[in-house]
Amino acid sequence: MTEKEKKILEELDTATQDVEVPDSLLPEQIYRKIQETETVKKTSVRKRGKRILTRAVLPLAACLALVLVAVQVMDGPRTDTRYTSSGSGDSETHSQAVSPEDYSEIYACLEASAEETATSSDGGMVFLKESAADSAASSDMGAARSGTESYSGTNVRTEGVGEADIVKTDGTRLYVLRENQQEISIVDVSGTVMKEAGRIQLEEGVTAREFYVQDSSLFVLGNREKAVSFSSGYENYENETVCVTYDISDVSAPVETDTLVQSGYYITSRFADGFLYLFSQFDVGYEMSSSNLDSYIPQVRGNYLAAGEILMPDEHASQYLVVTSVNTEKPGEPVDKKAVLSNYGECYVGSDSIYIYESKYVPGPAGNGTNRTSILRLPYGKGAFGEGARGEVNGTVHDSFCIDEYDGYLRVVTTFSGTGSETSAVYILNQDMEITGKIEDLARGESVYSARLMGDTGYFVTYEQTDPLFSVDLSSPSKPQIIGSLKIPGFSDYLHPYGEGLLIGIGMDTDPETGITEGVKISMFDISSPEDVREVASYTIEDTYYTDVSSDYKAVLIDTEKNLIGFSASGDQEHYYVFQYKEGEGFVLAMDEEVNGGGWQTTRGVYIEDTLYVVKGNAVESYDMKNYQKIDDILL
Amino acid sequence: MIVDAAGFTELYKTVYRDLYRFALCMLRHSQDAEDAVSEAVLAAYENIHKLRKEEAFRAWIFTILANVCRKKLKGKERTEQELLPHHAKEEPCDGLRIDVQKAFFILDGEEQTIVALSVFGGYTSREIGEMLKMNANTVRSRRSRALEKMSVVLKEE
Repeated sequence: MTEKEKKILEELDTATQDVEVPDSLLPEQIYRKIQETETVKKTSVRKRGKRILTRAVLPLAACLALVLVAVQVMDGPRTDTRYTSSGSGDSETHSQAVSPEDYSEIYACLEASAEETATSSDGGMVFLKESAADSAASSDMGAARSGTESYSGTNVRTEGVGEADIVKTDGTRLYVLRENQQEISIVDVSGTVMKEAGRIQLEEGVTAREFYVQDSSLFVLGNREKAVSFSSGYENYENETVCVTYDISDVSAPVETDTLVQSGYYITSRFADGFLYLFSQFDVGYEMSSSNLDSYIPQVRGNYLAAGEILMPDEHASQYLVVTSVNTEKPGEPVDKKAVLSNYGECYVGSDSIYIYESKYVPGPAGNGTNRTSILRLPYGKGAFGEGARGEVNGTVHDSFCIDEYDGYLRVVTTFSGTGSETSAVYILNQDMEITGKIEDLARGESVYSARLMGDTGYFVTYEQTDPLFSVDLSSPSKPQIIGSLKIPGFSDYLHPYGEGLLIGIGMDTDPETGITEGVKISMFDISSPEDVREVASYTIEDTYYTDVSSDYKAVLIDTEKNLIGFSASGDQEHYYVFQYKEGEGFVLAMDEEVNGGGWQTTRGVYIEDTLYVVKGNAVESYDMKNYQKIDDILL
Repeated sequence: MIVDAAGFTELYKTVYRDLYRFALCMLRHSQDAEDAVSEAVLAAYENIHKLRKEEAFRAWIFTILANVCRKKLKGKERTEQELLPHHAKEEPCDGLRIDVQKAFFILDGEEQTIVALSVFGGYTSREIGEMLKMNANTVRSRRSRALEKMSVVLKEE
């Protein structure tokens, strides 16, 4: 959360401090009222032991983060070496992921985890820092198909692994998820005047988060609401994840062909080699019971996952990350499925493996403790999942760009907060999730803001008041080495390669003295010699304070061949900006246009040939990329 | 969890002010807010035996209240659309600063819930994600946008 956001939350808190609670809601009155309703209920009186309503006195999320960081002081001796590099060390932390014998083992584990949480004041809910959004991207330059077609694709995390989004194009049409999240408009853009050629209407209760287009199929990914009634009649809503497939060979009349349902709410999805991988998170509710399998065993298409398809957690668990693979030719039937028990799993999908990583707090002897990340590697390919392996590193992972699979190894950049002040670290792990090499104790007092690990060299940004951009040599798995660092004002939230020897950083410019942000900033780094990285150009967009790129990598359009960097940023109004980069001249602002349209969805820019389409909610505006003059607009 | 009326009231005591502020900002009508809290509290009491651990009480009752408010908002929207198809106007609400009221009014239901849970529940985006069954990243980006919108209104005062 940004400082500004925290301020608004605090202001809302202060402004409502004096709100007077009506008499009928005062505890005495409530006591009376519930005593009256007491009829069949057995009043079994039990002395409640320790009362640890840890968060009852903390009014703001911000405070939580501060307090947690403050509690963690010095733990154990550390080397003074500034940049220590070493070979394999903590070999005991890696292991094979195991499945339970049967459901009762799962139940016992979930039950024990809940107990554990109940008796320790820092279990369960603890999460050290809000990892700023799953920003991630690929070394793929955003788009550009071969041959005659030229249109942009979604900015993805891993080259060759497709991702769904809220706007897509196949080169002849635009597909737009409408603001209501219940319809997808198909827009014919073949002429200069755009027109809606068809529309997909989802069934009642289904909310689309995003979708994917492949040939004549469109896959809608999202949630279906189901009301769960409790005995007393009060209703709760739960989501299950759906993938609804439409045949769009006739765009004017899309036909629903298949629906796949799995437990939990939609997290993300990937498309690779003709298979779709669907990820959901299934929380074991507050009301788990051993007689009700629904309450603790996830289902796919109405079938409970078998014990052998479930992987036991590292320690405790309160939820599952469920992943199903389906052949996109037959999207109603699962090919393979797995559910991983965890307390909180985030995922990163590389070309060969899925990594589920989870931040955890390891209590120390005197109330101090450290933060660690456990990582589960799940190999995948052609729709099948392999044997899982687990490992562990110090620190937390900021976003999925900080974790990267390359050439049989996993490289991880973390922020470690176990010693009073934060430090950064780089780890390299092999396929068994054994640490083969590491660098610890970097950038004291700063945390990792973004990273881009590209082949044998990685770059990451840490920030306190200025922005050191570190270069790290990753070519030897046993001996990663810091080879350069560059300090500049501000910070980059997002890094993206731009052709040979260049790296773009998008983030905020800040005053080096005060740390006050001064606008959205775009930087170009010359990385042709990684030991001597230089900022060769920068542009600060004045009077802007936010860009979606910081929290959503799909919000940026970068195309090296077209020399195009497009994204929206907000000041009083939201504008879409297009930059070109010219050697010697730096960034040239090619377009600065107000974004019309509304709604919560983030803005997208996509291009087909020489036309740029800016899509926001139900509004699409088209621009001629030769001069960035507006051509047309349509309100869907 | 097994708890009697007195024990329940003890738990309620730690949270009721925040529950009411939450409901008031969500519904912007003091009578509606009072009803919502009352309904949520009774539902919570009747279901308390299903709650597995005391520490989860706060998050659990907030989740119940959020669902009650959501149901009421849906009903309200429907009536307002029928009565005033074009301009659903807000009446001033007792006890709520007018700019705060406006700031919540310009948000959609989901945004309101996320912001209110952040302020009055004190929850992180991850926890809110768990409560609303949403992805934490989605919660984060929605909260950012919501606060961005609210800041404009709050600034005007």
